[in-house]
Amino acid sequence: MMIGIELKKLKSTGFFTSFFAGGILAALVPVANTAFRTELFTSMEGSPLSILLDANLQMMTMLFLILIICGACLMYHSEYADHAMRRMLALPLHPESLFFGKALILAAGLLFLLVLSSLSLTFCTLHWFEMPEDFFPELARNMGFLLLLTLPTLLFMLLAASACQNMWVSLGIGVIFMSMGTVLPEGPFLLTLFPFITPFKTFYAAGGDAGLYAVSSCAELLLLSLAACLFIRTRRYTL
Amino acid sequence: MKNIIETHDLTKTYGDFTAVYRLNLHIRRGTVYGFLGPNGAGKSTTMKMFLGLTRPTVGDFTIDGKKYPGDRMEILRRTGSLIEEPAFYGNLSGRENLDIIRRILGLKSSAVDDALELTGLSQFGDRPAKKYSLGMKQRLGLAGALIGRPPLLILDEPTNGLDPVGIHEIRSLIRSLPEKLGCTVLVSSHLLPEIELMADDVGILNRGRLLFEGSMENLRETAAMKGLPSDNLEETFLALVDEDNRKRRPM
Repeated sequence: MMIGIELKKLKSTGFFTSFFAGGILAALVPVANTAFRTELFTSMEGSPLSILLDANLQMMTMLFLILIICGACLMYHSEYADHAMRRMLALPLHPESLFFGKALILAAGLLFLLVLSSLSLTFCTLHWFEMPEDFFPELARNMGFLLLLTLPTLLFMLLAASACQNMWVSLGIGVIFMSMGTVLPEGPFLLTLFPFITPFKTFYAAGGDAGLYAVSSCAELLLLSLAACLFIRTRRYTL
Repeated sequence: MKNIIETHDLTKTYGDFTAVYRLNLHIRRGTVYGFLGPNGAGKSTTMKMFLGLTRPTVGDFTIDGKKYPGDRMEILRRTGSLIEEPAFYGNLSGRENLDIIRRILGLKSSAVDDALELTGLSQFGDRPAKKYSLGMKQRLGLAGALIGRPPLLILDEPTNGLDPVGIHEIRSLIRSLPEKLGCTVLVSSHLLPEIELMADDVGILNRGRLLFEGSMENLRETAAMKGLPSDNLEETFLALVDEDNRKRRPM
């Protein structure tokens, strides 16, 4: 029920439009890049997917993160702008369900972006390369890895948006962390495990550490969920 | 049970500041209870405690036989509320706003039209709430409180922002609710003549302490016995608050 209610709240906020337009834009990145640099890409060694991901994933991930930041901010802006959150908290529902309902919708939005990007990568491979036999299992593995590594960032951003009644503050937090994320992926290993940095790590680039990244993402998800539950229960008394 | 709300030494402190001190309220079922007090007296804090939006520091309360905090969900299911300013989703229409509340409360879809009609918003139901006038927003808040016809309504300044016609309509509506819907209304307002016209009982709060609780008739008798003006609620209220302030002024 909460998912339906949370979806309804997003009407006329620009959430769906921005995810659709942003998804199309992210999907166009590999198409445009490969169209302009066909010779360079087709002459490179390695599987088509690894070539395409190495060349495009950073830009695509950046767009995904921007959409996650904007989505989280929009979701909580509609709660705080006209004090709707206060009304919600005076109704018989668990305050955590508001947060996790939003998290599920945002995760579904991210999945939609990944599906569009997968279609785009499939098109590029079909059009400019020779389709390898193991392309789809590899694609699923890479996209699954990206989804898992982006989820902690999504929860972190949603938690930041829920904490800030002023949307511009949460937006600023997101932009600052994203900027840090773009410059730190090559830093010390421990630092690369943090939200906003992990999404930039591809399955190929992670190599033997892929399992470690996956486990650390799961641990971060658990910790952030616990932090969200504690924070939301306390927050109820301060609005 | 005669009283729908009972509080026992309900206290709320913020650091050194005591917002509400050992409050013992007794709100009779099926009545309109006027909750009066100057700004900062603790009215909104008390109402927020009833809705679980503020945690009591000391004391407890029961609503419709349900004890807070154990029965918080049950209390909220039985309580319609409008606290401080109207709260809504500006991007949604009035009808959609009420539909969200309806779905959370698990009510029939006809409850939305019922609430819109009760508050005179039927013809504006499909307009985005952000385009409502202040008075219409207040009505939407009231509709959100009335939806499902709960046994208890907690209304904090429900006539804020309304024009004289709107004030008259809301007053008539609140006055009619105990008879029409069988509910109890706890209402706070600065408009003392309004409270005088609609309340059966009043509670007067000053600086977190309850100065008086009882029927309007009792209030007049008490004021007369103390030698305070008893002709109208406004004068009595001002005299009681002034007397309390003088007593509590440091020597």
